[in-house]
Amino acid sequence: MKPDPSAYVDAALALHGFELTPAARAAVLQNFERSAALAAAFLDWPLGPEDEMAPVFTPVTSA
Amino acid sequence: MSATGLPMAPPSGAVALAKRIREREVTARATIEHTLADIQGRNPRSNAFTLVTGERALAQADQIDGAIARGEALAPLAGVPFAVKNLFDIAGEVTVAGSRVNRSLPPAAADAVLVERLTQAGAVLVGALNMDEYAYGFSTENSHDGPARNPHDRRCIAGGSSGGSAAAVADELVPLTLGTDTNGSIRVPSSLCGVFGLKPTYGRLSRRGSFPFVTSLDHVGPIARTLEDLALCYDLLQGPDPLDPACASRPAEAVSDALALGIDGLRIARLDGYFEAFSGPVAREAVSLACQALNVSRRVEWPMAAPGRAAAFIITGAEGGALHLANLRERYDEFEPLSRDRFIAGCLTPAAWYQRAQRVRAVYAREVAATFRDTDIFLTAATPTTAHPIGTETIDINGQAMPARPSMGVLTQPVSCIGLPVLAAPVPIAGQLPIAIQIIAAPWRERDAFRVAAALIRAGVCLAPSRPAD
Repeated sequence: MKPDPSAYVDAALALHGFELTPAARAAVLQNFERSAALAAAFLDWPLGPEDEMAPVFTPVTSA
Repeated sequence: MSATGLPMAPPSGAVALAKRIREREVTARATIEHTLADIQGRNPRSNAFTLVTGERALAQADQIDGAIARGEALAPLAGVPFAVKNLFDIAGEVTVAGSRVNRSLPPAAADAVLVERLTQAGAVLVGALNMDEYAYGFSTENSHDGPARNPHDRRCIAGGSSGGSAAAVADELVPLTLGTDTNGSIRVPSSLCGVFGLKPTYGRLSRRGSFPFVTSLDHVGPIARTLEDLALCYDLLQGPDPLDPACASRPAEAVSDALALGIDGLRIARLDGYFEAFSGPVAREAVSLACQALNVSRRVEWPMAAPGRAAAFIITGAEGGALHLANLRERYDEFEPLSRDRFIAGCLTPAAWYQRAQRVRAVYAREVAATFRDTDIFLTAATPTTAHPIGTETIDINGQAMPARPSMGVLTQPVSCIGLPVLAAPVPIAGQLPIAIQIIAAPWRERDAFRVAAALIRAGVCLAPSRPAD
């Protein structure tokens, strides 16, 4: 069954403190669904534990 | 012909203009006064400029003329006007980054590093340029400042998000501009306006003093009408910056001397698969013309281009949204109506999706690196189509209806996702609005891309078209 992200979007909007008009909420949901459709292209991509994201953090020493 | 075998530079180009000023054919002040008058007279048609820094520009021009009168050695771009996307800091000016929200911020205390470097090189900043709000768009349909208009058809978009940067160069208001490119924001407007643009390797140029969008993907780079101008500007921008953590500690690797080298030894291929599928007929014709001129018949498919593009899309939404979360919540009405709901959707990206997108990006980068074992340069189009009318909601790409605003970056996004250097080079096609190809090189091999662009100019394939007659 295709997942329905609307409950997640409403909960996440509430968590972040957004109070949107119905029209704005619908537009956000539409954009989220577009992102979800794109994410499906890689969410199941086989990855091993060695496939790490590229870290760029540089420890800072005092001057 | 010039020493590089390229056509003689137009008199309004940066290299030619610097020479005329150096040889006292024209003063820096007269040059800048002419530029400022030109912007005042013609900018309303393209809406490329959102700020003109006339006082600062004339003061610097007078300093340059003083140095010339005293017989002092001149910097390479002395007296040449340039302008920057309005997300670069300009001392004393508010960095609006295409937004209304930022207009309440205090003015910048100092110039961005790249503005400072060009100023040190003698170039004269004359203003700031229109863009999509916070760089989140490919069209520069900016509701606060009005849309940037394509100089080749003013009903059409200039592309974005560095739309003002490409339109100002295409309309010959200034020979050089700076833009930024997170998912295609230098290459898309360069394509639609028919100018040369460079998105260097990720980490090559300092981003310090430019308003961020997506830290993982943000690049900065130059736009110009001639390849010599682009190369010289890029050479002057290079150099490490220990204060920008994303800037690599590599020495400058100049490209200007590479324009005359030719392409012997370079192995070139055309990108197939995903990239052909999202290239419309005009885009394919542009790539075919380049391939014919270079005798390129080999096609290579990049593995993971679609998941790579998707990963860039998710990373962009998550990082860009999080950056503006508080303002999106509290000042929603002040945000760009065309992108604010996309921004908020980005704020809601699950952490597991974002993290996975970053890991997929790393795997994709390795997969593509393997394709460089037997290839030095990949060619593909920079945009799926030419410019469409302002206000367009849906575009057709090979029979597939796609949302216009996010889809113009469908060919650029999989390349910037993994930080490869790309030169966007315009390929004029009779009866069509401008379009550019992407000349994609291996990391840190910008020189190879410049060599191929120079060869395509010599072959008569690449050229920035003149602005239409008034």
